[in-house]
Amino acid sequence: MLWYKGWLETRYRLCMALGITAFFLYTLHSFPPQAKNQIFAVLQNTSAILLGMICTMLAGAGIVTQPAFQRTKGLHGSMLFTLTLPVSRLRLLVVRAGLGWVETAATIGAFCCGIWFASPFLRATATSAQVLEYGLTTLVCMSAIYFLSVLLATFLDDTWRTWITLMAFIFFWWFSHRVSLPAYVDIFSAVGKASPLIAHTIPWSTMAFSAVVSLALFFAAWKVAQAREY
Amino acid sequence: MIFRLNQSSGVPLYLQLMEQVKHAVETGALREGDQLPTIRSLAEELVMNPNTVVRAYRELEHEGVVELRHGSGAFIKESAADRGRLIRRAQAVVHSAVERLTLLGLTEEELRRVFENEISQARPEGQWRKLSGGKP
Amino acid sequence: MTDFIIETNQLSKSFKSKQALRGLDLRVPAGSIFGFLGRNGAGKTTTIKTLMGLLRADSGSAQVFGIPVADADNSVGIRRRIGFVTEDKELYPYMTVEQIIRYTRSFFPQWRDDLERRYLERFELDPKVKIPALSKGMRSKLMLLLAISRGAELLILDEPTDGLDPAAIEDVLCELVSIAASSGTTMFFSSHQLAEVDRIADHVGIIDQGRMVVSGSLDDMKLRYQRLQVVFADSAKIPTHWSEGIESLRQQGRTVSILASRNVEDIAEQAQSIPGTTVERFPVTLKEIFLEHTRSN
Repeated sequence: MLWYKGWLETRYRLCMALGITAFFLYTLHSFPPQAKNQIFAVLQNTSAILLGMICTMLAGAGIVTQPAFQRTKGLHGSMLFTLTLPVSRLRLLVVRAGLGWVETAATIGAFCCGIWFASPFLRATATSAQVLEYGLTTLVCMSAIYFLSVLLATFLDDTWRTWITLMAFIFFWWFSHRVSLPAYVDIFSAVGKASPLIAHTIPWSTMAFSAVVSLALFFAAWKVAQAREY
Repeated sequence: MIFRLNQSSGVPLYLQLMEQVKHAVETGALREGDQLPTIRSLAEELVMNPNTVVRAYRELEHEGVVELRHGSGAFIKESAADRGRLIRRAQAVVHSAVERLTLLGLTEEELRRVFENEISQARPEGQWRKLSGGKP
Repeated sequence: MTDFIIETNQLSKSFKSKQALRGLDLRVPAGSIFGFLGRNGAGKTTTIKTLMGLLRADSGSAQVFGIPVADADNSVGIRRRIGFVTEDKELYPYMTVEQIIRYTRSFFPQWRDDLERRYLERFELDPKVKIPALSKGMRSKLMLLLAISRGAELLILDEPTDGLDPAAIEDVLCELVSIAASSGTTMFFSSHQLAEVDRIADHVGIIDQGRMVVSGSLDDMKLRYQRLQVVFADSAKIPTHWSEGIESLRQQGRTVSILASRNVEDIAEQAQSIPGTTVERFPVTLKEIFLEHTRSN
């Protein structure tokens, strides 16, 4: 019943994530992009940031997680209870990281469908299949951010984790605009100008890179969770 | 039979329990064939460790006060009950002696010393055998 | 070979700021109720956390059910056979009583539905109530229910009656004794309340500054320890060297009060051999033994 517990912990976060997405889509709908460069701008910048934020929010996958709105108490008592149950730390991590990832996927899915309906221009210039491809690309590329947050969550409390992930994300985003990065590293391009909706191709190399980074970060998270003392 | 134990004392609980059982036999509150409470019920009633009750009952069996019948419980032995009757007779003897000495004007402290002297004087001559249920 | 359900050997653990355990030797016989006593910061919770796999010892070994706790996989298997109550009785604030019971039950295949029902009733727990709405005492009782209903062979309880009022404490002790009597479950509990330990423990271990200073059967301890009050005719006659076994000696004028943990006969004889002395013997309470071994020396 770890999934059930995780769900009880994160359902409000998911609602918030969907709410923010809905709000964004509403804004998009009210000021629909009329030209290619506008779509480009929307996807490259705004949505990348939005999705990064969402990943950060939903990755409360650390065993150090505290339920939302709970005062920080150092070592949270209920975590003591969880850790004394007959579950391995790996399983705890897999369930919570997995659940958060599924929720992120759901939000990205909602975002992609929403963007399709919000922008007539997009409907004209891209096929529905490409929207699905876009969703998949975004999910895989954003996973690197997600698992960074997972790793941080194994040893930081919620507040620190959220801010640091956000800082890291913004820094890399800014960096990718300053310096010309090789295609496979630039995940921001992958959800922007190199994405299926604009470039009409799937950026496989970036996705592969992100997948590898995600796995590495998850592995690191596992090692930290295993080594940690409570 | 109501047991009252002092659970914060320095005297182990099993000894206290044994003392109270033996005292009950001496005063006749428990007679031969009477059954002591089961280990579980006594432990629950007094909120004490069942192992402690077990130890008390085993020691009582070792001293010949009770007989442990497998499955049924602990029963007061006839010989212990006999001993109890003897003790009651002894009590009566001491009672009349104390009465007379008090009439002579001895204080409580003097009475105590007189009795203790008598007991300790008798000891080196080996008149007192180890008492474990035998008759003198 | 005696059956020890928990055993540690020279267990040591230090944190950045202090050394919590310094070579702790702990032996808990199967089927016993073991009271783990110590002052705040003595190392009780560190020991318990090590047994539960939350901490890793720096050196030494610890086994539960004969299985070393250091291995992470083993630890999961060990925890499946233990009913545990944490020190701060915190559970999940977003669950109701019913939800957390269902949740906990899913981890223990040997869950006892009958015990669950019994304790829900005895502890008067309303299944529909959310956990934050419960008082601390009720939360403690809920934790106990969750621990006991697992049908475990061993209960490890960290201050199980902490924060409970006297009536609730009585309820809890009664239930623990009942379980011990009916199923022979071993109980290892840490406590500040000497009175409780006196009542239901048959073995105790006193930990001070990370070391086990005295442990064993409580009854035997009470038999072994004695206080001797010796009044000398002349304070000049008080011996400077005494026989072995004296834990502490206090002198006031011609009176010497001795706390001895063994060898009482020899000490009494030594005192009595000096003409003009009177020797009185008193039993020693657990509290005195505890204070003797834990006050800073």
